[in-house]
Amino acid sequence: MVRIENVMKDFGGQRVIENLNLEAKQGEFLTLLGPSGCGKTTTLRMIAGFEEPTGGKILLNGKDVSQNQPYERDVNTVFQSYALFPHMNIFENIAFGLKLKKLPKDEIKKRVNEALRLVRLEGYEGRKPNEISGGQKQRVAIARAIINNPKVLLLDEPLGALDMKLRKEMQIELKHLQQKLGITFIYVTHDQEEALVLSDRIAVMNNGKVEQLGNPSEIYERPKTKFVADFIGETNLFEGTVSLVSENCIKVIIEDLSEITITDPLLDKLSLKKNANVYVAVRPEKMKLVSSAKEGMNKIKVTVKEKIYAGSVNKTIAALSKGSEITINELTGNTTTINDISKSMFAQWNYEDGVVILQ
Amino acid sequence: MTTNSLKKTKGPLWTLSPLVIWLSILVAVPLMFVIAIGFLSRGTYGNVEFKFTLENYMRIFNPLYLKMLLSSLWLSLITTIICLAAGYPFAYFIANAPKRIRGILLMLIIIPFWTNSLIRTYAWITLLRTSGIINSYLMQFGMINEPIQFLYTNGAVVLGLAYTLFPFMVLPLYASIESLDKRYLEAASDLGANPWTTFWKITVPLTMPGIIAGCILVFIPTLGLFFIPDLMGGSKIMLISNFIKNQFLTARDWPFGSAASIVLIALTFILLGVYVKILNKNKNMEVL
Amino acid sequence: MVKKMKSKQNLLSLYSFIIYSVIYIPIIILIVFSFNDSKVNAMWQGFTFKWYLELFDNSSIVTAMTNSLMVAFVSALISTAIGTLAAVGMYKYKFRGKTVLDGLLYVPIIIPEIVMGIALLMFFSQLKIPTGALTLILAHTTFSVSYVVIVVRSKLEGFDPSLEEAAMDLGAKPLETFCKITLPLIAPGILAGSLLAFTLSMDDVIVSFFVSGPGFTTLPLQIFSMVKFGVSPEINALSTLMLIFTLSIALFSEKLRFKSDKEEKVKEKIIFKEKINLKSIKKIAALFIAVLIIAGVFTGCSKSGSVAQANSEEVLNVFNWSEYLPEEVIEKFEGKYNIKVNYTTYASNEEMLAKLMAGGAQFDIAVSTDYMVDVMRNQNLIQEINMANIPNYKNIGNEFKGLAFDPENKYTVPYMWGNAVVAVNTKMIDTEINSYADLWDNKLNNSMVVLDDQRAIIGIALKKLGYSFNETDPAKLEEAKNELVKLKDNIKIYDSDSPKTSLINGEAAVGYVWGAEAVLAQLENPDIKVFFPEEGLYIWQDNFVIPNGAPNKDNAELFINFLLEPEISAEISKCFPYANPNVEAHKLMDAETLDNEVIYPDSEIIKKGEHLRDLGETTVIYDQIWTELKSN
Repeated sequence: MVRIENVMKDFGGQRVIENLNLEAKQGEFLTLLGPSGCGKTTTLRMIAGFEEPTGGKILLNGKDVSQNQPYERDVNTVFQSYALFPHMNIFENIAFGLKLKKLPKDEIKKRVNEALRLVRLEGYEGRKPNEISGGQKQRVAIARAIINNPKVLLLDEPLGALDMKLRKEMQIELKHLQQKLGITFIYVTHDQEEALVLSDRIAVMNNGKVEQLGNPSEIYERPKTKFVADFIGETNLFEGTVSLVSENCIKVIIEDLSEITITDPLLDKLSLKKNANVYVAVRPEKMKLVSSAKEGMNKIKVTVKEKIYAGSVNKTIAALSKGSEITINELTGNTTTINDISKSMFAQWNYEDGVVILQ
Repeated sequence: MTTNSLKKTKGPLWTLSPLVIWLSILVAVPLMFVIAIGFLSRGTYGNVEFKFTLENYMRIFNPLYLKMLLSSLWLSLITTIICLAAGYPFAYFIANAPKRIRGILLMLIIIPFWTNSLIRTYAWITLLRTSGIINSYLMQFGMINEPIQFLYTNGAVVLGLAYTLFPFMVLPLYASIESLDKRYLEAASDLGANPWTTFWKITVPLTMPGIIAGCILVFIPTLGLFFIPDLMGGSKIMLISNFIKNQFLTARDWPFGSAASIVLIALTFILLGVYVKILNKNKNMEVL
Repeated sequence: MVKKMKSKQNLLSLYSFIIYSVIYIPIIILIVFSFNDSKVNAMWQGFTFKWYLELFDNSSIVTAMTNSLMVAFVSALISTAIGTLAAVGMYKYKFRGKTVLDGLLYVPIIIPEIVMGIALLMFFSQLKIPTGALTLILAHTTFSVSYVVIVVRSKLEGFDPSLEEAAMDLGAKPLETFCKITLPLIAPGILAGSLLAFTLSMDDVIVSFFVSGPGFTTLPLQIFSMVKFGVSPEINALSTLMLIFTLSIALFSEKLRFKSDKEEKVKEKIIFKEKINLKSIKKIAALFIAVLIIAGVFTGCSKSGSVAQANSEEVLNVFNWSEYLPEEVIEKFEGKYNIKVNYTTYASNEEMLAKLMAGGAQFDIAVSTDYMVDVMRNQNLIQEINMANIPNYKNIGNEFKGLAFDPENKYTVPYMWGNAVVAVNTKMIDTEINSYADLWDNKLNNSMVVLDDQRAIIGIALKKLGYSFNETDPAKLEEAKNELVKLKDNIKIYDSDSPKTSLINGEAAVGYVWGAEAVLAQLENPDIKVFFPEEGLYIWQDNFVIPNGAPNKDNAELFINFLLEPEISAEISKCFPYANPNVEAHKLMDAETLDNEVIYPDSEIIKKGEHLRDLGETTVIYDQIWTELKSN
């Protein structure tokens, strides 16, 4: 559907996108996720046609559109700040694209009403943009963008300005809308949770490059780089050296000299050699805090620093003997409520819960 | 564009008081003089006699004066249209120039206008007259055999007026184009509007305040710039300002001149009112 | 997208470059002509620097320029402050009477300048505020402030109020919010408004004419009064200097700013829009201040010169035609009697009358033409002159005394006299014009320059019909009007200020012009021949009068007497080609001048000539004919 081939972009001599290759398939919800400044919005703007790539190609349906004007591309954008035309009312805003196509008035009216129904804004057509709420503006922006039946809908942090509850609602709505319309969505956000909820696939970007492309569980469960592991969710990262590579497991010695075992069936053990430097990522919710360690699991000795009640989980911040800290999340109710601050305890997790990341 | 809640009746109205005081002393009071004189009579020697009359107002509706008024308004309208057409792309250019040179570009248009307008007008005459620079060059290069008469025509008057009032169009246009949010243009382009459509449907409506301000600042002063028709038009055209000036000077008929001024002010207000009405109506009509 | 955009950007740049060129074309012309070795701004004669040297000698131009800069700066400052505050207030708040305020705001823009000038002068004179710098600043601010409000308000329309709310939310008090948020965001509007205000003030003539006082004149007034003899090259030189000065300051400050920008970029990389805007405001302010300082230095220099000269209480306020009295003569008077002369000029009798009628009663002497003396006397605007104080009155020839406008010689002392003649460029047209009737010849189609003067033009039609220049019979005037409708096609230009220019450079083949203009035209272009129409000449005589309420009447009489000294009178005649009624002075003048029959026509011709009289009510009919003639 949309293919980005070897695209580069310079701004004032500074390279912001480096040799980007990416493809969004028909009907897919693809998210570009990354911190601000990572190049995700620039990528989106190049697809929309607001920026011209310094090098490379952008293909839409197999056709190179890199040199086409925005108005010549079959893509539409939902802007971050909505960019609703202040001098037009809601109806006129939504009808804008159709009027340009010189469709008959009845048809325009019919389709605008349809779009309004789709975004549940019937009865608002006469209002001006400054007379409706943020969530409503958001829906108008979506309605305006989809009314042209674009092949691809680009969304630039569309929910950024909404409050938490509204954002959650709109996430679901967007997902449903995308399924109903069956068109490709390319979505830009820095909110990893939003990305995980919405996307079919996520491209995690950093410094103008795609760090990892995959479906949400792959991204979450099997980060391929330290950046991805760090950026997506909470992660405990242990730096260490491979001490053993065997057929069904590898072992890594970490800073406090304890040895961690990883039995990852998908791990490419051939690429690992003894004494290679690696990271081991373990999600906090996979860890348990115990006073006496069980065998058959990884264990490291920690001192409890702080306990935080966070609703559904209890967070424990604990320090390794060398001083680096880890986080352990346990479901509320499953933990003992005794005060174990400053106590020496063990953090434990299953062999299959660790992920090895090459340095 | 403000939310209604912000337009309160309460609030620090002190911001207005200097202007209100200034205008009521230096505009309202002298205006009262003018209104009062409009109802008095001309004495034999051109003095103002304290004899109440409505005759001054009646006289204005003489077809002779109406004809003069219409041709004057027509000339102003043409000048305004030319200024707007020439000034909009120009203001657009300055507003979109790199920020660091915007200031200097702006200064470059305003500085020539600190040179006295009379001097600039004479420079135009040097350029345009039959033995002037343009004609000499055209003849030297064999493009024409006979000099073209540029000066002392309506075209010369319009050129002079448009030239003199050009910055009054560009500056307000610049101010409003400068504050135009680029995202609206991107949005329109994204929705399939080509640059031309984007310009007419988005840029123009959103910079309408600047357009209106510019048109007002050009249209109204053209009614009053008497020395341009005098110098570049050979004084063959009488504009409303020439006419009113004559009443105060050669005819020594201050009451009639005052009445004509009041009528001019009233007429301009009516025009402004109608204009604003049409504008609002258009806005509402865009709703299908 | 960018590729197509780039080509469009280039097109736009090209277009803007053309516009800039058009804006600068006349400026370049005037710069070139400031180096032209000819007094008349018509043809290139050769390169010279002399106008620049003369400019620095001409203290009155320099003083007028500094006055103008001061008035423009102060009035722009006040109107920007008041206007910006009010624009914000009007934008934000609803209040009763908003429509009235809006209306009042437009009045100064709509009202014809002359009406505003007269009304303001009447107002100031009612309040007994003496005209001068203060009244000029008040008046200029009054018409500038409306422009500022309109421009700033158009900028505010695009203003996002949530920004102000955000600032308040972050703890900014209303004033801080205004200064730190609102002001920087609307800065381009304020800048545009203040520039307009400054420009308007620098260019105003009409309002300034009425509200200026003796001894405080502005540059546009000075220029306007000087163009009687065409644009003086000195003015071109001055304009060139001012232009180079302002341009270089603008470019210099721009360079400085650019430098500091670069430094800052290194520091923080991000430059906020507001910062830029604030900076351009600062830059303009810096420019203004620099201009002002230079102006101050200039004024200081020129003032110190004149202060040393006349360090006395005694003053004399003279109101005279422009280009009618050499500066050296005034300086001689000041030196001899230790009286400071404040010299103010006007371009027509009517302007002078209007200013006196509206209450500009601070003048001790005015110069009034024959028919205008009637008006002034009848309106009780002038007082009797004490002839005992003017022994030199005996030097005036008897034929210039006891004329109809002052039969008892009580109110006037003759100054100069002259006529209006027909001048023909014989190279362009081969015809004798011995009568006014010859001007109606079809051959002259679109080739005449005539005086832009109702009495003169309606007068020649009357003369052609065998009536008087002072005809009051409506039926005869109607006939004259019908004649003039036929004459219209022959008239190419109406010009009273400098009709000789069109004659000299061949724009017009035939002129009905003042005799003095014809003489000057002949000097530049020997092909020009002068004819005296047989129906009789239009003859005028200018006279000194003393306005009622003149504060220094004795000094005025002293001055008149001084100007009637034969030596002084002859000196004046040397500078200006008008006929001198001072017969004693004739003895000291060149025979060549006295033999010039255009200036001093044969006594037979003079006898047939006519002076104008005021026509009372009939003036209105003349004006109607004139309006009809010009609006067809």
